[in-house]
This record gives sequence, structure tokens and C-alpha cells, in this order.
Amino acid sequence: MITDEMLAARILNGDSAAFEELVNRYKNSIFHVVYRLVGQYQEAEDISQEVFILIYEKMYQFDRKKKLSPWIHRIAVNTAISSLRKKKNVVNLSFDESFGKAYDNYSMINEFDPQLLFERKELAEVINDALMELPESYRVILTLRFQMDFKNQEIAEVLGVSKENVEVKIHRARKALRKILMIKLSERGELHEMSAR
Amino acid sequence: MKCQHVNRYLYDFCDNSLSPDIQNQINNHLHECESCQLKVQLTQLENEVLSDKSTIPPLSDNFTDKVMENLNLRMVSSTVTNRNKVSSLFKTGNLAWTAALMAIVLLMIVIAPQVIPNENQLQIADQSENNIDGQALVENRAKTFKTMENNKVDPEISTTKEYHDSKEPLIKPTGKISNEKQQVAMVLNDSVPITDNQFTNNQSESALPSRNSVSSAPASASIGPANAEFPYPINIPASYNFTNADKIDNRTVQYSFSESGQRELSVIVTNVQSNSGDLNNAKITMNLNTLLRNEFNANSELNPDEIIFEINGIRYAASLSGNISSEEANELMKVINFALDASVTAP
Repeated sequence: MITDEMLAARILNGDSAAFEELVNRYKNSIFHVVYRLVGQYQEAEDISQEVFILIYEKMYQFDRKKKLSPWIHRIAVNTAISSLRKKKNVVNLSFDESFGKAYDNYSMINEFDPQLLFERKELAEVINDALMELPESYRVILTLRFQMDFKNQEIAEVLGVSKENVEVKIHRARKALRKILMIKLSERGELHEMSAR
Repeated sequence: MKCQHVNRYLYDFCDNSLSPDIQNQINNHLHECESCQLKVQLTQLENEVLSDKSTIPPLSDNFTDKVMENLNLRMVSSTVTNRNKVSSLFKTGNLAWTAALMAIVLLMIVIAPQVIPNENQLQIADQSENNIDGQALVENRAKTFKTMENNKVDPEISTTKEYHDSKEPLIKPTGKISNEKQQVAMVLNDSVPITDNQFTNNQSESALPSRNSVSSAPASASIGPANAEFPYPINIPASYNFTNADKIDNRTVQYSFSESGQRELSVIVTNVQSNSGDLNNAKITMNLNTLLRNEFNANSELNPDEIIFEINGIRYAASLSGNISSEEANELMKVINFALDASVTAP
């Protein structure tokens, strides 16, 4: 099987079939990431197409000593985030302790029984809603970790941060998700207050 | 084991990434504690939902065809657009435009032999002028890639590679402040509009610091060469070493630092849209603590550590991230300034 890096070399040599192969190889993966970030099918497909055109146009910038996959996913993440920013006019691409601390202000004393109160499907919807309310930086890292099954090292390469930093960020993202989830469940009256331990 | 310990290890426990000993201790605790059982159940469900790929709709069958078609169309249209721009100049009958165009043509005739590097590029230009067939354009584009690669015309290839290979601190000695040089503090200013292209138009120039300008110097020194198009963080505290500059996209650069090789810190600088009036509505402020106390809520998408500043009418957003406390981040943001001219130092 031709490696990604060999494909990149062929694309640079003008082999359009190689580029087509690259698109086929990565289209689902790229679409998954983008879809999870933007949350709308048509928009995600349009952005995914734009991602591949960018990949083609920037291919000469790819450092062939490195792996292609993180580079491609990095373009996908950045393109999706740029699109979100244009749409919402918000600027938000960093992970910081202060954000996590803000979430920490929410009380942890509430618990609920998912088996008694929720069917799995219902809970999945609430979790997905909570996921879409997360800041995009947290959404990116959870998508790469859980949807793409990337290892921490791979996520680090995509985001351009250290592996240790990725671990910290995943933990913060999960805590932030849990807090939003608890707020949502509380708002829906599904949260049962139990004694704090 | 107590509930608070389970809380601490909750995610790692559900990922089975703890040592067998701790895993067993938690299991024993779960036999006795219903509350923690529920937490574990919720976390496991959360994991399942986060990993569930069935909710993602399938991509349309002709996606690849659409990409290839769009690629060809875009290349064809860029060629046609360029031609139309030239022909419309003549159609306007505007003497000034025509004269300007003629002057450019004359100038090109004079300097062309010095500017055009080799025969290969002439050949490519000639082919793309006469052939707008999509497939041929794709191939021509690839040849151009190769030529660019051979000639190393792209700054990102040479600079970033050198950065990664370099183990030297990428820091330039401190220069003196000159009246002509541009220096800014981090201020909120929404009076001057910016254009989206102000970054991208200058991509071909020195977009990132070049290694030539680098020498080992105190960490408080400024970074990179003069005339760069991205603003540099300057006046970095001496306890931090500059480690890397990474161009994330045409609008964003990430500068990385490490503190005695232990903690990492990143400053991400992005140029922001001219129509970003919402930024003001979002009450961006330099003061992290104030923002955290008064203006932050769980639904806000505003990043509290973001600051906006402006250099030469271009508005940038800078965010600080790293494994540091908000107090430290706040202090750092007071100290770190930005400048387009890296030889400028903060007051």
C-alpha cells in the first residue's frame, strides 16, 4: 500500500490520481472532525471540500519528514474554526486554567441516577447538546480523542502542543462538559440532589 | 479510599488507565458507595456517547468528485479572472489606468531577465496562459509546486524547518527603541477598520522570524527580525525561554515558551475580522480576574484571557494559554507587549 507520504510526493509531481486517492483516504475522517465542530451537515460538507482544496494548495508546504495525517487534520481543525469564527464573530482558541476555574464555581453536590431518569438515547442528546455548547477549543480536543480515537501524541501533533498539555486539556474539557451537562439536567428538572459526601 | 479520591481518578478509572492497585481500591469503594457508582455510570455513558460515531451522517457518495471538480473549477476561474482583470482595464478607456499598465509592462521588460529565475518557470507561465483545461492546470500547478520547492520561495518551508531543527533559543538581542519603530501596548481600540487580506497579502514575504536573526540572548529580549508581518510578543519574562514559532494558518501564529523546561506557555496571535463588532459587545478586557468575577458565565464562548490590540490599523487578538494560574496569566499579559518590529523593546 502506498503510504501517505508517498502520495504527497506524487501529488507534488502532478499526479492528480494520487490526490484523488488522498481525498478518498481521508474524506470520512475530515468530515467527522468538521461535522463535530460545526454541527451542520451541509456546512460540514462544504468546509470539508474547502479543506481538501487547501490541502492541495498548501501541499508544497508539507514537511515530508513528518507524518501527513496530523498535518491534514490540523488544516481541517483550523479551517472549521475559522469558519465558526466568521459565523459567530467570536475569537476562541486557547485552553486556560481560568476557564476551567470558572466552571469549577458550579457546585458539585448534585448527582443523578442516569438509569432511573433517562433512556440512553435521551441522555445522549443532552450530552451532544452540552458538547456543542463547549468552547470550540474543548470541542476540538474531545472530538480528536473520542471520535477520531487519536492518541494523545497524535492530538499533540495536530494541535501543536505537548503530549502532557493534551492530557491536561482533555481533563479540563471533560470537566467543563460535565458541568454543562449537570446544569442542563438541572434545568430540565432531571437532577436529583443527593447528600454531598 | 474516599469519594474525593474517586472523583480525582474518575475519568482515568473509566478509561482503565490506572494502576491495578488503584483500580482495585476504587472497585472496592464502589461496592460500598452508591453515589460514586452513579458517577462512574454517568462517566461511562458519557464516554459511550462521545465515542459514538453512529450519530454522524454518511458523507455523500460523490464527495470526491465534487472536490476534484471544485479544484479544477477554482484553478480555471483564477486564470480567467486574471485575464478579465487585464482586459477590463483596457475597456474602461481610462487613460491613467492604461498609462499605469503600460508603465508596469515597460518595467517588467526592463527587469524581467533579472527577476525570472529559470527557463522552467517561463515554460509554466506560458502553458497556463494558453491552456485552461482543468487537468492540465492541475499538472501545471504541481510543476509550480516543484519549482517553488526547489527554489525555496516559500518562507514557511525554510523558516519553520529551521526552527524545528534548531536547538538554539530563537531570540534576538535587545535593540534600542527608535522613534520610527512601531511599538504598541495592549489596548482596546475599535476605531480603525482592518481588512481580512492584510495578513494574506504578505504571505510571500517574511512571515515568521528567520533563523539568521537569531542568537542566544536573555529571554527578556525581543524575538525575530524587523519587518515581519506578524506581531511578536516582546518583553517576555526572563524565566521563560522562547522555543518555537508556528504559523497555524495565514491569520494565526503560535509562539511557544517554556519555563525552565518545565511548564509550557503559548501566545496565539490572530488577526481578527474588520467587522468583528461583537468583540466589543463581548466585553473583552485585559483583566482576567475582573472578567472571571463579573462577566463570565458557563454559556459564554468568550475566552477570558483574550486581549485585542492594534498595530498599524490591523487588529489582532492575542491569547495566552498554558499550565499556569489565572493570576500568573494576568501578570504575564501585563508584561508581554507586541510589536511588528521585533527590535523594539517594551518600556
